[in-house]
Amino acid sequence: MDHAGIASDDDLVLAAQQGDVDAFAHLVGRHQGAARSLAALLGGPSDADDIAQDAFLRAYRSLAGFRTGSPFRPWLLRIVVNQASNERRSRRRRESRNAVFIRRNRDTPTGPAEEAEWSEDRRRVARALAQLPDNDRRALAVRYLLDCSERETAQILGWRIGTVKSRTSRAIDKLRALLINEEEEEDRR
Amino acid sequence: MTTIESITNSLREMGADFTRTSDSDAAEFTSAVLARLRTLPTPRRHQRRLRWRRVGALMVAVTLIVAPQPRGAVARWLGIGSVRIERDSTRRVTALPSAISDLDLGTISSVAEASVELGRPMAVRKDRAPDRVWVQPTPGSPTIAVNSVYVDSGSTILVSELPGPGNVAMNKKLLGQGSQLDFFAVKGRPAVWISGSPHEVLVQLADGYVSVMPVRIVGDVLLWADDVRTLRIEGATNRAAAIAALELLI
Repeated sequence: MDHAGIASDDDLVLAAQQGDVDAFAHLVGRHQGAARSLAALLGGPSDADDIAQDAFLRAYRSLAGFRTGSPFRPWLLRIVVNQASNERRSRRRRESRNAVFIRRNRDTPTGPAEEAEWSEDRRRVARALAQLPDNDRRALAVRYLLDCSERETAQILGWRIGTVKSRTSRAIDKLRALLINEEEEEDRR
Repeated sequence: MTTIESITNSLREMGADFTRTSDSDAAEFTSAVLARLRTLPTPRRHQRRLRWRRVGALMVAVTLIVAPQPRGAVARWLGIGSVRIERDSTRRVTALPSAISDLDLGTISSVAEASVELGRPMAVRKDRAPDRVWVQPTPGSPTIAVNSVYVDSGSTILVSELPGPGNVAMNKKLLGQGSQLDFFAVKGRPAVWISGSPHEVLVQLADGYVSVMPVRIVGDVLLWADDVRTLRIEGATNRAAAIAALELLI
């Protein structure tokens, strides 16, 4: 089948369910950015690609159970969340998560001064994010870093929308408190 | 940087920057997935699944038509009407309902988080991760229980893990008439298969509390304990299947 970049996720899923590997490859290409980012945010940068690859394989194996017509992205990202959780079971990667935000995309043009300022802000937020409990970090990662809607966030994390709202709000408050605290400490120095 | 708006904007910008990958990087990743994927068997067709669902629905309909006595009980079990799950002394149902998410199993969690709550790795099947994990306050005890579910074709197994070595033998004294208890050992540790009429399951935990585990389904239960935990297996179609499910966990 020629998928030519215009096929919808629904069409690609249907074709993949019938054994069309190329259709699934298009789904991988289309969603790999979000999947790898979420894997890095939740599982640590060093294992991100492994987690994301495992998640895609698990998605492929589970395609028979995918309800046609449902959105593919939240379903896939939920598998990534579960895969990252499983991966982290034996090892805590809190420290390494700090590094994930430092990496800039190599295609992003920026001047040295802007780079330095942006990097420092990023480090500060990354440090604060790393101090949050797992569920708070998950809420912020999916809702803001992946820029998902509240409904999508609920689907991906398996929470009710009300839980997403309250947990996201609390997580932002905690993040803000941590950032203020860090700024005050810097001022005192 | 410390207003809520600036923080959320900052997070979105960081995410947008981070999620962007070059074409060559994306192609490399996709190739790696495909290389692994081509070694896997083709997934089962969706249509096949639908066909089995239709067969299942037909069987239920036939049961309701030809067996007036359990009709009400089956209807209630299926959630037709206002009652979804309840005790039923006339009929034993050994499979979990498909709408397992409707059960009160606690707060949705993950293997990692549940393990943190338990203070050690939770019991997970050797061949794969659970489909869903919950943490739940333990009735009668200040500790928590971890519930996990494994959905495979033809079976749904619900596993409850309690911290501490449970005294599974105390059920012998406390269960009512009509329950059959079969004591044996699995991997040298005590196990009990509780079958028969509807029952609650009692577990004396290491801290001395007696936990009366809630009846979530009408069915048979396998209890097993070692030095650090007590496992409860539900949803197996018979004792052998329950033991097989347990052996994948320990």
